[in-house]
Amino acid sequence: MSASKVAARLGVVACVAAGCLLAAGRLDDAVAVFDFRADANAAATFNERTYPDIEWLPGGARIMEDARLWMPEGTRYGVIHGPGPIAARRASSLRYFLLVLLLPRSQTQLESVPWVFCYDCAPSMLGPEFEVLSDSGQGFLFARRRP
Amino acid sequence: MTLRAIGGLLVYNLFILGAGAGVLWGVRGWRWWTDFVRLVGVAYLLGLSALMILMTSEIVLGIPIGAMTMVLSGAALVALGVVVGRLRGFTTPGLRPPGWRFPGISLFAALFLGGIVVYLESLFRADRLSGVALEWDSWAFWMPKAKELYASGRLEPEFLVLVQQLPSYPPGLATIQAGAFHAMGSADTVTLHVQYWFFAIGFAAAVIGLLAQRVRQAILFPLLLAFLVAPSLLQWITTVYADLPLGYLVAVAALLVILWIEEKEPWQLAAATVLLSGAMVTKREGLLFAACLLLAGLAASFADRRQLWRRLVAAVLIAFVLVLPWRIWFTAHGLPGDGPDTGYGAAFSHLDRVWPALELSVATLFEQELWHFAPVLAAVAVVLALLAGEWRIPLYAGTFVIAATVASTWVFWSNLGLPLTQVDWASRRYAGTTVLVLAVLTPLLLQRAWSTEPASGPAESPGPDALFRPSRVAWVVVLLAALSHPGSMLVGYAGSGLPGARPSFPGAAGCVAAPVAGANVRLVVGYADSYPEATAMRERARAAGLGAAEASQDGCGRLRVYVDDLPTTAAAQALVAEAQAAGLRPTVELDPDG
Repeated sequence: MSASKVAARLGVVACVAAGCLLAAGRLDDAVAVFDFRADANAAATFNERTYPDIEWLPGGARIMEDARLWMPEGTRYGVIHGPGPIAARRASSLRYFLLVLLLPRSQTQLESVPWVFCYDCAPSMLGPEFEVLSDSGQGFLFARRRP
Repeated sequence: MTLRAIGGLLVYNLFILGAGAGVLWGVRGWRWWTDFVRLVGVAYLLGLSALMILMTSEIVLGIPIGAMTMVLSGAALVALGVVVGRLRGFTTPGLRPPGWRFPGISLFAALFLGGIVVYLESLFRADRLSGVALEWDSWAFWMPKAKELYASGRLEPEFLVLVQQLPSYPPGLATIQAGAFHAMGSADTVTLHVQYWFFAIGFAAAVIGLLAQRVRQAILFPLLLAFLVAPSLLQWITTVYADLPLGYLVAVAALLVILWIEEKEPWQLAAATVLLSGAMVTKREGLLFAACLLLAGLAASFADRRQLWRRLVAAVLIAFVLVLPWRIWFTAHGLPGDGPDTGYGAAFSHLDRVWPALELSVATLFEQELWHFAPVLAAVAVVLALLAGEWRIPLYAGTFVIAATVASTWVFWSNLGLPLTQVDWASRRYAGTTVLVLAVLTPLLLQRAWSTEPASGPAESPGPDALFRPSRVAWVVVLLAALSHPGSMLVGYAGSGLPGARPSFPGAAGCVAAPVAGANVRLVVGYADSYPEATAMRERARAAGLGAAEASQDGCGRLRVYVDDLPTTAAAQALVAEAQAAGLRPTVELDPDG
């Protein structure tokens, strides 16, 4: 056997040894990572698993879940917002979050919309024709048009 | 989250395997069922790819993607495979070849195979109750499409433009996710994570099945496990993104292409074609990786170019043609293409990004915190194989890595929306596919460095001692490893990294808690799936004299109608009698926040 082949074989032994150390040494870490996630997942609630935690929308998960439980599938809802550029910008993001999280319900810009979300709003902003069904207490509301 | 959902997924994945078996029969056939068992992972990935390709075409044709469409699609693949197999003269397989014996495994290899089994068992536990809330791409991009397909069976252009993901993004994986929803009986985005566990098993089984007879066990199993425990893989393997499914398909296709170049078995190229096409409908990068594989294949088969090049180019072209209907469809509907966000030509106005993009691509590939030293091991394996006089596989691996790095550079250079930093996840996820390709090629490289003679049949062990001699007894080690994880759950042992408790299957009734002596209780009038239903129930309760009845979320996706803060069970029983007299059927539960 040539010297290069002997060297290659020695290299293979070294590589396999390194692979063994890596595999055996890190398997415990891998199992621990999976185990940690499994425990965290098991402790989570339905809302924590389903709705993302949006920093500027405290209490948002509860409102969105309330909305899901109020609105029949296939229905349409609107999204409005309070005054100011920050509210307008965040409402734009909120529209997308609601769109993807509340499927198969869909959004509309029709004024006669039966359901509405309002970001950065006080309940009085919606007017008497709407009944507030869910209120985060921090400016995020879900309401329905009174019959 | 329920056993029923997991059972549905099990049946669904057997269905995918069945469809893939049909495809494998058409392209290869098998004389013995033992051959099929060895290639079961390849069959699974073939089924996955073929179904994605077929259902993407069905979306294009306007055929609604429902449970029946999926069943018929799978049946069509099996029927096609059977017809092609018959035309090719495949005969009914026998159980096993004469003189076949259950393959042995060395004690050394069994330890690492056992490690892979424990890894997969642990992964199942992590996947089972995982939510999408912390996975941006899942809830923002993939789930909307899967839910829309599940609810309506269609992906209309009007809907695609609403989703922030590129509207032309291939929908193959979303069709598989929608199929999983049908199998589970609901759009259960939690249990959907278990589908990705099946993908991981399919990948591991495919690699082991293809390499077990070509690579020594002492090389294969430790190296495969070394790649599986890479931190970046651990980070993404429990998310319902498309990166790892893409990586699995490209990696196994890469392995099949180099095996075809060496062994010239037509089925290997045919199977790689299906997998590459599947990769193209999984993510838009699938097209890039297919081009990288083509380049690597052309380089590695240079010596046989007259015989192989035409077939290799044809295979990649066929893979592309299979996904053309989708590309024609989104172009015809005026949806923006899936090219770079600068456009193809405008990238040259941003040449200042080229070098940082290259640096990012190379640094990410060799970042120790992402992959430990796995890519370094692969690089050393390339050198060792060259040292041993083997040039084909090192050239193949090297060309692929260089091409994938150049492609990655182009991606980050030409997409201004992608930040040129490793802190961003895009570069890590892109590099994952390249690392998975290295994961499947490294054992082969080391095998060739050990001996340049291609092994045929079960590989012999390098040493005579008890640690390396294959035996059937060593399977006991694998069996013990397999039992250790569920065993630890059954006995409630909470050792390092072990579960330490029996599994629970939280469903809609998971938030019902039995009363505990001394603790507050609540009278529960009932549960409802919607507020209108709950409100009606609450009004009935109030009319029955339970004036304090309320309705609110129960934490498990339903609404609870209840009277809270009752100090004793006896106090609750008095209300129970009152409610029963009004025709309600109340129960008494623990009031954990009372």
